[in-house]
Amino acid sequence: MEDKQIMALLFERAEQALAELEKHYGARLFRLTLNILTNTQDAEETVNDTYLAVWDAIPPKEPDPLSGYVYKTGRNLALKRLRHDSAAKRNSRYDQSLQELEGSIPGEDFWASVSARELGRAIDAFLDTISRENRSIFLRRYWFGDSVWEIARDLSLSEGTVSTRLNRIRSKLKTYLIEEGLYYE
Amino acid sequence: MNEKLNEAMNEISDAHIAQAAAPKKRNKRMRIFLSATAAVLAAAILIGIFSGPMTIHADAVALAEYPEDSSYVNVIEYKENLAGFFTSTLAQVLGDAGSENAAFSPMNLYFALAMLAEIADGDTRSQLLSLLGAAQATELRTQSSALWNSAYSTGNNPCTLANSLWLNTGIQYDQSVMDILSTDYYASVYQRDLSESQALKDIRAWISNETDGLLKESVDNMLIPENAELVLASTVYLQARWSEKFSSANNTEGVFHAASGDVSCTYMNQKRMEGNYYWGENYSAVCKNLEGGYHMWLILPDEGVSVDEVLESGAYTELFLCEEEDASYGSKYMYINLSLPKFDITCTQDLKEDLQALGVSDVFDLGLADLSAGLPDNGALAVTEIQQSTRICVDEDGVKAATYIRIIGVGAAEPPSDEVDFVLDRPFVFVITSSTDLPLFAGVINNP
Repeated sequence: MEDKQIMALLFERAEQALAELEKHYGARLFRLTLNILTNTQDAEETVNDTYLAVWDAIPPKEPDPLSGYVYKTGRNLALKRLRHDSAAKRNSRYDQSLQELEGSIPGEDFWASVSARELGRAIDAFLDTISRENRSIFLRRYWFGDSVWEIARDLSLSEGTVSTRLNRIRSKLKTYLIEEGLYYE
Repeated sequence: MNEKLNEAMNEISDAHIAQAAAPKKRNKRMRIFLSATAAVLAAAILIGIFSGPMTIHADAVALAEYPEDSSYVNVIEYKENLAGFFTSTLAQVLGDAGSENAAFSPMNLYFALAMLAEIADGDTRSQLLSLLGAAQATELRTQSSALWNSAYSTGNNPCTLANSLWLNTGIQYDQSVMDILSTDYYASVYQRDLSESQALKDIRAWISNETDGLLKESVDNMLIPENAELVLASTVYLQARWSEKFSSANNTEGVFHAASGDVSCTYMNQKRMEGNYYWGENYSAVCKNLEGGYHMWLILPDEGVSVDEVLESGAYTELFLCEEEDASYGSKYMYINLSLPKFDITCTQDLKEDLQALGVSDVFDLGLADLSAGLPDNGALAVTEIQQSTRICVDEDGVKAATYIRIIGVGAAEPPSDEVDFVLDRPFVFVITSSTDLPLFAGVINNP
């Protein structure tokens, strides 16, 4: 079933839509929330919360593509849960991946001078300048929090290739941010 | 967590996210294994259960269906329960090897004993559950299934696990337990006349097939005693390449200071390998990555400390069984000049005495063993043999001439510079862990 058909089910308020969301996005969504929360039960609950949030939002919303919207909703709910749960374990895979990315972006002056939205939009625009496969590697690592091994397995690449590509993409991103005037060395 | 960066990532467009999450379209061309194998490992365990003679017939009782590939399973929550099993069996089975090499698959033993626990009842089952770190059979089932799925992997760097149970004709069995074995333990259950030579051939063929012929010699020597009522066979097979290969051009011939005296061996050398150098209360260690998310931990006892002392204290298991923030070892990211002896070892061990020392005793006693949960109405049955054969080969490609790497001993203190020579030139311990940091294989090299 394609995104459009799931959207149609959501608009018809057919409960089958929930089963289809689980079938199409469940596994990836679980991995994403688990990367952030590190706890299976919390991750599972967040996945269920995501389906309900999507059910509540559509209609009236008509996101296109649906999958991106579903993952974004799941990620936000997982991060929200992480912030509210003071006992939650830090240093998750997701944390580690962000630290890796942060390391390649400039120091304190930079963070004070640029807004999150500005930086986010610049990164999004930068992603249009690289190949589809590299974009996928970058986002799987820094947005979904996947491990290098998982990315290598999913994309049929060696781990060494994935690590090298990530290094190169981060370095290109830094150059891009300089060229766009977001920061100066 | 850098909140601003985190928030910035929320600005990434839905279209980019959708595209990144989409599965890669499979290339139909078959992938060919190009380079030689860095580490090929296999272990097979055999448990023989015997009693007086019985009668009747049949064939496949329950057949396991293997998944195409592993699903993503989080085993963090089980690690605390499993730490005791892994630490105690590693010390018990690998300890006291004297001047011999030793190899062992904790994961293989775990599945063999877990299946046995499903068949057992009463105190026999309690003793097994206690060693396996589960309060009851249902918990064991969930834990085993999670472990199996977290370790099982096909593809370029496969880790395949397989279990089978061979019942003698005439043995009564509970079909629901056999179904649990096939569903939760991926075990195929067969019923054969175990006294016929064909049964032995079939079991040998099954093990050889599951271990890709690596254990040929031990499998060919395997026999089934005349009064066998059941044979349980369990295998683990791993084939993985180094993430960063050794170059054979850098190999050196050197001296290994074995307990029984100096011997010569071939060292594989890697200069300026980036990674963490670890030091604990009686060891230092480095981790060499394998493709597929596997790791090989190389654990060198401090000067004056024996391998047995390191195994006994178990502190080194923190490296893979413990979350870093809870661990007591120190670590530093640095350049490591690694020298690792090339080795290919095969070990066959009878684990009965080891298990008895670990509190699993009733199952071996014909008067006490209770296997009535899975094999009811059969009279007295007991395990008489539990034998594991393990082969571990660690190599690079080919052999050529050499550069020379200096040998130093590293103590338990933080290293002084940003570069360290890690030379495994005296008896050491190694542990190969799965992508979820569980010990698949381990060994002691006393004489490479």
